[in-house]
Amino acid sequence: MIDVVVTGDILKAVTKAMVALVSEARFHFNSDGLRSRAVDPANVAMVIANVLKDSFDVYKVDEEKTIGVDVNRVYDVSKAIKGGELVEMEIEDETTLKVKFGSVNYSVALIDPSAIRKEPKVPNLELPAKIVLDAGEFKKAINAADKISDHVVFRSDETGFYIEAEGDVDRIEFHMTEAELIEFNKGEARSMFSIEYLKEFVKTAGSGDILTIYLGNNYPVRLIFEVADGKARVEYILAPRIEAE
Amino acid sequence: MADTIRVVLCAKCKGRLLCGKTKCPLTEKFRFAARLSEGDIEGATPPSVFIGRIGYPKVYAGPLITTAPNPELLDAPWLWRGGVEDVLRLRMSLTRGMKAVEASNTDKRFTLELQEVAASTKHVDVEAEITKVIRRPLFDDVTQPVGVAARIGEFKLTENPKIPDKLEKLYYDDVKAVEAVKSLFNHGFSTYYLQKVFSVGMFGERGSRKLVPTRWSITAVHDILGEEIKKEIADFDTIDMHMLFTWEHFGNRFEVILSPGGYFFQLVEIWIRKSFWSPDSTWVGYDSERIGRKKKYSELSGGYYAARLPALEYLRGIRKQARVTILREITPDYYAPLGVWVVEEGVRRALKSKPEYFDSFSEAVKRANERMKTDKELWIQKLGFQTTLSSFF
Repeated sequence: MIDVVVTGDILKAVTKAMVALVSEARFHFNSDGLRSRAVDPANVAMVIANVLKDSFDVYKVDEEKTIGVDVNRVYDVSKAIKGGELVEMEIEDETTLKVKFGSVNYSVALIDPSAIRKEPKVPNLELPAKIVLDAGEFKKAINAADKISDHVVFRSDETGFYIEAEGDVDRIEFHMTEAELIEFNKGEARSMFSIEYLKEFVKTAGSGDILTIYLGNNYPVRLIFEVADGKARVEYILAPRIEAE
Repeated sequence: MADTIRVVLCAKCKGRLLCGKTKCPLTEKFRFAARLSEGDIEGATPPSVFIGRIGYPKVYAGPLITTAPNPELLDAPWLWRGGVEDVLRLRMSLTRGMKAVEASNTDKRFTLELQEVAASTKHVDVEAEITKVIRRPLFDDVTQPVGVAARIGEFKLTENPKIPDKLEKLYYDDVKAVEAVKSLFNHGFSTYYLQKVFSVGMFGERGSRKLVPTRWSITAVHDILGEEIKKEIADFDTIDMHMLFTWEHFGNRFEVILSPGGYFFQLVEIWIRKSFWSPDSTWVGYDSERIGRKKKYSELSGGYYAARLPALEYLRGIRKQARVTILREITPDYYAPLGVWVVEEGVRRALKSKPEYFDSFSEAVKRANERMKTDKELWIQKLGFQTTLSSFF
């Protein structure tokens, strides 16, 4: 039996994060809190969502439990919940998830977790550059780049962090210096990524959220968003595009 | 939108009139003096039809008619050889009969006759009354060129068309368009045949059948078949060597590289300065996709889907997946647009030739580059692969 209470923004943040890559996901409830991981069908990106026990208003989990959730449906319903409003989630048996907010009782059938694509292992990546910035600024850069190209270059050196995209007749450069970044280790790195994925990822974040980027050379990038006032953590790992030479 | 239109490039637009002009300044160059005059014309249709797109859903539809001795050849791109002028000579002998019809009106007598013409597997003798000659041949990046156009009045078939049983069955059984296209293709009907039949509204459920402009039907058939084959190959193993295939015809060079990996497709289009769609400077275009359905219409227009289909056919044939890279270089020898069959047949012929094998993608690119005219620096940075997570850990 699971009975937890959270604010609407957290439920929204977690389901939205998963929806960017998959429509069904496994949710694990254990003594630390809630976590969910998934890889998209093309095996290009991974999402890891975590909500620690302390971020819940009530967290009653009798024993560790894994459920299969149709995140598309739950995300759709969660849009109707206000950010600060409390939501109760209840699972009595293996078959149904109950979501209560205000006077609304929503119940949805659970999916057999074994029918959902196996969860990936979280890789241990050694990435030279660490960049911490406002997620809203990053979102702006990605959405602008999306207008002109289908891929962007992330680049970091001692002069700062760059996002670059080139169109047929136009070009976009986003540059933040060490002084403008929240934290920066001046590591040298450069990789190219598909905007198709990035623009889904940034939907999770808003201005004021903190984003930590770990970047390598032609290597997967880690994008860690602290969302819902830092109460939920959403990490994406995205495989790079490799140039011909 | 205004901004994108202002900076639009001819090579990207390919006569779609994105510049806002009422006529494409490039295709306007090809105004031929027509020998046709008003009165009755007796000839044959290869069999072939043309459905215009201007004014849709009210469109100009009609048969293509010729008095040439070997009508079937005029509509059989897979047999065409030689240069651009050879294709122009063949196609300019076709007169495009035009009659205004509602696209949704597929049970009108005229439309039914067009359906019989389009579905025939051999040429059909026809008679048409020419009421007005329009001295403007048709050029388009997707469709094949056609000679002069003429408004027609009376139109009749003077012999019975030869219609395959397989098609009749799909027609009377109201089989869905996607299923019908797939089924006929898998039974060996050419994409050209499917495009004709698709355009005259013979597929789908009665009541929802419509005439489809020729240009749209060509890309629709390429797209339907491409997406269907993608689903079929999704579980195949990957190839284990880098393979390079090449072909050149009609001023178009094709370098096709297949590399180990899950399905990925990328096309680089290089219009050398003075080739048809790029008179002033060399233009390089790029588009790509993964195994999932391609959502946005390609910026490279119908040529993208035409290049993709034969590559997918090949992969299905060898029962493998691969990362596909196609470099298409268009030289000034391509001085008139001939239609996307140039791409479809070019890639198909390349893939029928004997490949060269390489250990790495860059070696294959290097070899392909030796045959290309354009400076590598202009296109190499467009090439890229979406890697997968499993290739790192």
